[in-house]
Amino acid sequence: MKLKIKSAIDFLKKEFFNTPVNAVLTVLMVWLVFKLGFWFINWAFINAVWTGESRDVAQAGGATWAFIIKKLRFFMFGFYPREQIWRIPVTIILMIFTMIPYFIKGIRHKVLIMLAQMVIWPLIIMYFLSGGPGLEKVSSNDWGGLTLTFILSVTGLLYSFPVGILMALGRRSELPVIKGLSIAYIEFFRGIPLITILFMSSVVVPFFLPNGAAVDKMVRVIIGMSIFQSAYLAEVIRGGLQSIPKGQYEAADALGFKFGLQSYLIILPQVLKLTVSNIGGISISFIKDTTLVLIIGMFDLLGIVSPLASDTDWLGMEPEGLIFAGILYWIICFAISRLTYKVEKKVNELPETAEMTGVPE
Amino acid sequence: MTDTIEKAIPAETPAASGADEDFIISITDLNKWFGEFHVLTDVNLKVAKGEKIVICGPSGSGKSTLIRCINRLEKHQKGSINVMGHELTENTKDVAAIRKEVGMVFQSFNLFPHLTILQNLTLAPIWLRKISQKEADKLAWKYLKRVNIAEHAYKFPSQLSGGQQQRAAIARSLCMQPEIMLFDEPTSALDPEMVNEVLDVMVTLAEEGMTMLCVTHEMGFARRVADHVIFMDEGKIVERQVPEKFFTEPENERTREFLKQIHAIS
Ligand SMILES: Nc1ncnc2c1ncn2[C@@H]1O[C@H](COP(=O)(O)OP(=O)(O)OP(=O)(O)O)[C@@H](O)[C@H]1O
Ligand SMILES: [Mg+2]
Repeated sequence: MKLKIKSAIDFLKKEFFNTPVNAVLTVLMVWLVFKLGFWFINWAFINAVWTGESRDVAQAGGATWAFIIKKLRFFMFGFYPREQIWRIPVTIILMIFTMIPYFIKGIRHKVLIMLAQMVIWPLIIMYFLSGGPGLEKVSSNDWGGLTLTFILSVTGLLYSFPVGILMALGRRSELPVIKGLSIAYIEFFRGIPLITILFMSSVVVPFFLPNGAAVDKMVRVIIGMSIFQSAYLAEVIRGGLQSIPKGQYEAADALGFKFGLQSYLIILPQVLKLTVSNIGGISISFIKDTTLVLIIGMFDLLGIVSPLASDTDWLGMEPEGLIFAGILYWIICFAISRLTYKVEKKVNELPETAEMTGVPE
Repeated sequence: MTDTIEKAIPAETPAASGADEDFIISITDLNKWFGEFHVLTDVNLKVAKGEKIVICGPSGSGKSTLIRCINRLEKHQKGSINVMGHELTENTKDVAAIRKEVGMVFQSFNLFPHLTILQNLTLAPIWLRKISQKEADKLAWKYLKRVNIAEHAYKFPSQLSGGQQQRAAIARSLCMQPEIMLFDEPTSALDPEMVNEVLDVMVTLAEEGMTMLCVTHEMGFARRVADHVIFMDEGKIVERQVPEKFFTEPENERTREFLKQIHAIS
């Protein structure tokens, strides 16, 4: 025990107090951290106000969490009509249900599930969120908050996946046309900022659509974001493709596998294993990037803070709103990061060989 | 320039007296370049059904390139390669037809690491020969037993020794029931104590009448199973002989030099 304290003191001396300047800096930093820490705890907890009907309840030096609690519905569901809100959890639960087949052992070709989702998800979203026979229409302009963030993130990721994989494969194609087009696609969309793509899809594209062929802004934005994300995904997958030893391609060729089956059965499974953590990483970036839609007038989790804080009852509540949105983003991204880590560990350990049935006669 | 070399090749091998269709592989005036580099020069090679040919020669002489041309892992630019009546051209149908008949074993095994040994063996039969899972399993077990690794069927390649992996790779090729097997230095990545277990499998295969082209420097194997030994140097076939003659009285000076270097001359 004594020894430990002694070595800790030695460590501090060596690392933080080795020169007078360093010692001063250390003291200053510690003071600052404590000062800010105390100030934040006071603001967020001790002086905070949790209930109330308007900003009149606010206390000096304290957060007004009552604002978040009062406006929670808007943070979660945007301006979706109150009596229709039940449709949002229904949509999300149905979408989650379509994930179940991924976990069924007997289903070999999981890619079919993904292809099915690409059709089923928009149908679920269109019917339950937009409305249809028996359900009142709700304009996609009223979707917002966490709901909008969720819809943009999951659909963007879903559609970017197959496109990204195809582009990565295309980039390695021996056919010059396919190779050229893939390179052009990837480099073009990686070279322009997402904001530009969003402006294009919300402002420019409608000009070029033939009259009457109105495509919902939401659809245009989702397409634009999927394209953007697929270009990044393609680069990650391409990196994975490059790290597969040449012998794997040759063995597959020698057995007679042609490009499609070879990629599907032999190369891509190995590539996906190699790139899980990178794919997780760019997915997190993508989710954070969805906040940019606030610039084209969509009220996602971040974008909705400002309209809510312009409510005359709650003027000036931006700090609380932004901190709340930040915390939610952090939770989502942290969860995905952990999930990626788990998946990566799982795919890289050798599966149990327990299912072996012995050598048949 | 090539004259002297061509003279060294016996004009007619014992099997070469018949018409062309007697040959399962016939390579005529094959030339190949890697960019500017002329890897194969006027290679002529005819292989009869059931014939076993061992190819040796110094590093970089084009041995791998030659056998890789046979299943079009490499493209040739001049000359013709005919395998079981299929002419190798840009036509992908012919390439596919030939790959169906030709199995290949690599120096580095190249098993698919994400699949078990059993799955490695059944993948191609199921997807390419379109047989049922059950039939494919049956076939796989047959060959797994033949190469003595049945007890490792449910393991992954990384859990096997080099010798076991190479035997699995041979079995994987055999599951496609090829007419011809190509081996590219199948034992040179192995620890010495594992070389024999692989060679034994190859000897058995040879005894069963498989047509084999084998790049190897295992001269004991060549003596035992080869009908002919081919010596290559600088992209040319310098000498083709029956093993007894190849090892005792090679005709070509370069062959003698090479054999001396690998201490195979008797
Ligand atoms: N893809 C390629 N591009 C360019 N040059 C190549 C390529 N593959 C092989 N070569 C060259 O062609 C020559 C013959 O190569 P090859 O692999 O056929 O030789 P080898 O006889 O099999 O030699 P080793 O005993 O070392 O395997 C070598 O000089 C090699 O550097
Ligand atoms: Mg070689």
